[in-house]
Amino acid sequence: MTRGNTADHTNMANNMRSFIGKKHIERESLLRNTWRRLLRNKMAVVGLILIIVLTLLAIFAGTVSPYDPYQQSFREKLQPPNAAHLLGTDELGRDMLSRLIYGARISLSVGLISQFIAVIIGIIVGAVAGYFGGRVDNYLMRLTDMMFAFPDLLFAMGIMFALGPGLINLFIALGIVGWAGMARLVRGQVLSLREREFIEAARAIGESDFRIIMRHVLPNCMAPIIISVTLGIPGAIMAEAGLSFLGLGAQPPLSSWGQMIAFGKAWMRSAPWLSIYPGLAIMITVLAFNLFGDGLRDALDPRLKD
Amino acid sequence: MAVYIFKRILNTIPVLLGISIITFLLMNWVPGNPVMMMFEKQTDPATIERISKEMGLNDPLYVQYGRFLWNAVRGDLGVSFHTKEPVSQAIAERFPATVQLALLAMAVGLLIGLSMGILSAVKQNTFWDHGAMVVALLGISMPVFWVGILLQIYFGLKWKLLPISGWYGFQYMILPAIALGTRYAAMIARMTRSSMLEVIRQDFIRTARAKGARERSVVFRHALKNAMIPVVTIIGMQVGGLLTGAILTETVFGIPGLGRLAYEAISFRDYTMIQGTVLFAAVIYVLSNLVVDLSYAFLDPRIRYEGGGSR
Repeated sequence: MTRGNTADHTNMANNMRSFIGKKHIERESLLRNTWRRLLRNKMAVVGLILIIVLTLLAIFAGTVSPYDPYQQSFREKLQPPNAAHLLGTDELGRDMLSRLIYGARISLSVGLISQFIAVIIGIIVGAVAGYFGGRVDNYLMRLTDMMFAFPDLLFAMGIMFALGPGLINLFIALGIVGWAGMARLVRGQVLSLREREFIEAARAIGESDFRIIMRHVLPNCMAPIIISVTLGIPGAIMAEAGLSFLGLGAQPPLSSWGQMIAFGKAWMRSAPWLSIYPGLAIMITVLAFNLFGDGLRDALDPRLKD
Repeated sequence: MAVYIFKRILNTIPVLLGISIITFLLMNWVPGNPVMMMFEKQTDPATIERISKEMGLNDPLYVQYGRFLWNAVRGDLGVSFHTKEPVSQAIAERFPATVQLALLAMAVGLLIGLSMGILSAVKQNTFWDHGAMVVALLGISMPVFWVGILLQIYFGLKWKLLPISGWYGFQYMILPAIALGTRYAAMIARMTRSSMLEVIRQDFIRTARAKGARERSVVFRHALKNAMIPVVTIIGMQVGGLLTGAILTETVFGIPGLGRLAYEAISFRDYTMIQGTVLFAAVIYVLSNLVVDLSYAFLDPRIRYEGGGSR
């Protein structure tokens, strides 16, 4: 190989590197644009504020709660909302507001952690299937199809039955139930990116498959992944509430909203607030994530907007 | 068309096999000897060993799976550990109530959802549109079982308009159908709106208006018909949602359906019953998705003529 040829190659490689580098700059301005568009969407901002408030309440539950959520007081049982107990008390005389605030911890942590598990599995499976294609893709996608064949709550019920109730198992069950959707999404994105010039360029300068996937493919399919996670969180929160309502979720004395509704149901006639308020809490949380998720989707991908 | 249908049906076979494997393994994963769960703790170890052997629980896993699959294909899902009745018989007894509930909920969802969605799209960016979409957003954010309890508290206990539990006639079905149908209606409303808006902007709608067609005819004959494909997708995808929603609704309203059967099975740790109901529900789900996919072919000629080559 002559000297001139080597210089040519170096030049070409540099050009390619700057071409790939441009992608990073584009990404930064994309982030800024997205943020600006998001802030212009009032509903999304309301959702974001609600999420921040709920998160702060969950983190500082110990300081914010007016009472100890586990403190029983038989003299004060089944009190309707009043000045001392803003949302009343339950059948064991525990303060409802404090229990609801502590319940935010369970709902939010289940929503976030189960989605995190789902994303990790989904990204690995989806990226491998989409990038390598062929037989690997075929097998992995058949597995994904099978996961889709189960109605999700029913599948989660089966897993919870096998694993036994409890918070950690709840994370695992909902993570297992959720990954297939993410895998399909990532695979689709990777398939469409695989043949693009900048991926070819990266391949041409000899980057490894792993590095290409991590540095070039995945960062470029982040937008749909973020949207899917944000919109997956309310689904997981809802599923947790359902499982806890059926007695398969977090176990007492932990105060999960779904379980509070289940216990409150027995007192529907005399103390309806026991089931009404936890349901409102679930609704507000799910609504917040839905508003924010919808806004984020419109901001990240304006084409999808009506 | 025939090729597409054949291919699509053939595709469900590995999926059905897969779900049978997953269900089988899931139940094998449950800690403890099922025979011990079946009998009280007093039973002596020798008896447990003998029964385990008789039931084939000591056989290798693949032999057990083969037996499970062969029996399931012939409609034998084993005997309930709790009630001692055949699982398939229990499912056959309970399934009609679930189907009734799901169909009524679907009717509620379609009626409310389609009307809200069309109204929103036709009156885009007006008070009606915003109002309907806020209601729809609230609808998808409320847990099914909570909606059920709210309906029980207000329509049953406070205003004494309708019965709050049981399954003895049409009036018993109204509240559960609304509870289960609410979320469904909200989803259909959102989907119908965005799908309608997309179609309304297309040239053939402008042509229809230009040739002087009445607004009603434009909306219903031209726009709605073409806006229905994504809506049908949602309807199909939500069969699973209806099935699982039914578990919660049936528990709230004390309806003797498949969902309540699964719930009771879980509370009694009735291993064979859970396995049977999960498998049955998954099969129903797969088959209903198959029907939805095939119905696209009738709705959308493009799918029909491609002959399924893309799938």
